[in-house]
Amino acid sequence: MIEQIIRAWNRFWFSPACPSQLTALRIAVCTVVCVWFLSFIPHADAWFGPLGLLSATVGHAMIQFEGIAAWQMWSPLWWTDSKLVFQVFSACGALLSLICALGVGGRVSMSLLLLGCIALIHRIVWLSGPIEPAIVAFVGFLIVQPGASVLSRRSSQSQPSIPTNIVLRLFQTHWWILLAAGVCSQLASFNWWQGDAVWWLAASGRSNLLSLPLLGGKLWLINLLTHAMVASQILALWLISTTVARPLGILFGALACLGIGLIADQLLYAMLMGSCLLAFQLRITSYTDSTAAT
Amino acid sequence: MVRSRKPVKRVASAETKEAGPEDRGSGEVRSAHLTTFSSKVQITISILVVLHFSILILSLSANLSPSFLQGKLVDLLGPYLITTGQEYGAVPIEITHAEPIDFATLVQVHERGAQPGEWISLALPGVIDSTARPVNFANSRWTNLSRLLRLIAEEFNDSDVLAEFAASIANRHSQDMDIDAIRILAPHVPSYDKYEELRLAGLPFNESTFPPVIAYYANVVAQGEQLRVIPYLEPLRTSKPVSAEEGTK
Repeated sequence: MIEQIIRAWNRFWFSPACPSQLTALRIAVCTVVCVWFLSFIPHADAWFGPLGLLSATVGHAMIQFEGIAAWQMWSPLWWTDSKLVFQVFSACGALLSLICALGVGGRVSMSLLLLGCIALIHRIVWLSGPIEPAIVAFVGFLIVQPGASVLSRRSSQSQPSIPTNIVLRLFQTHWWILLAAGVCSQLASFNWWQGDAVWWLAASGRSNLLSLPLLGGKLWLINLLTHAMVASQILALWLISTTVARPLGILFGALACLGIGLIADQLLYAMLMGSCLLAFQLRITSYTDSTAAT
Repeated sequence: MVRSRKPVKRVASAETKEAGPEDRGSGEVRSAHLTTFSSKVQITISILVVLHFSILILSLSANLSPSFLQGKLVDLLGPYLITTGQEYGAVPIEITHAEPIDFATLVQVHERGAQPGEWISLALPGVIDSTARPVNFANSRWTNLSRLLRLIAEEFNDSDVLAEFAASIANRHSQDMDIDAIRILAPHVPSYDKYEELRLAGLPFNESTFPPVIAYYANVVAQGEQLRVIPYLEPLRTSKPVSAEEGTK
């Protein structure tokens, strides 16, 4: 049995995969990272300016409160409270994301992008949500194998390789763990079982799509949306793990992302998680291609 | 995990070279079409993958209320988790638990000379006001920050973090108004039943029917050119023992 597990493990991680799969995934992820950088520009002064809600003084107080060593939260953005510097940094990050999306610069560009993301995440301290850790992990995975450049037509970049497969598997596994952790955490609360969690999201103003007047008198709709959110996540986790039902799993994964983005107001996180579905979808293409080639 | 002596994948290509035992431990075995990994490389990668995902699962499972063991392990792995931004801390991965910390707060200031009940709600970055909902936030960033501020306010009302935060707000608006007090307000979020009760009775939903809770309150005083805040702390409540016997317990 142990031999079987080892064989399955090796097949899972160390089979070759087509770089075109990874290229599409990289473009999608880097585009979301670009939007994430841009989203900090409009309110840079109000958040991070000299008199911003998260000025360097307030930020340092937060780090001190948590008892974290300052070096662990390194960022060049601690050196200044200038709104302009922050905006230029965000703009450069967005530009670098686009360069990485095109595949220019390979691992060097991806490494710079990772450093830029971490620097910004360390500076925003408590503004971080679920998207920030996910961005760091996904950009980090792409350093291992960034995939083919969109601008280059070198044939060597389009050959199947094991590093490509490893990166795709890292994306798949990380996506699965994040979604599973979210569902487990949701189901620790009675509201998701009872079917009124969506009401609380709307009532506290945390839903882009729903409002109290819209939901008033429609308890069935509140229950339906709440149960649908949980069901879509569980079905996505289950079906996406099976070879036969993976397309259905991807469909439910997309529905789960729609719920997270539109009902729970985590739009960027939903976009990032939705992008990662490409890692699953394109596995099918790879399987078909290799079968045809053989 | 990896015990296989032969390379795992063989590609249907005449140019592909299969790695034999002589290639083990030599790193990569290159061919025209495919790079295979030796057993040593596969084992190393497998260990790294297992380590990374174990730490990630630990970080996610320690979210918000870690056990003693989880807390110790997260502290131990802090240099890795924090520097790579993988520490989940109080990040709301559950979307909502319908607990007070999930509901975003408001920040209000009071101008010197104004009526005691005249508080001004400040515009917060990314937050859009709407009459349709008690609070309507365009994105979740303020909610993330508000969650932590409220957690601290509940546990450590006199914390320096809250004082720094309040002082920065007071200083930001000091040119427009003469602020003498600042507070963080938690609006009442109605349950479905309560909302329906009001809706069917034709009553409005506002602060008078459901007063908000004050999560933090501080007086603002001038110190040189800067403003600083003095948190208002509830007086310590003590009760005398009802009998000498109880007092000795």
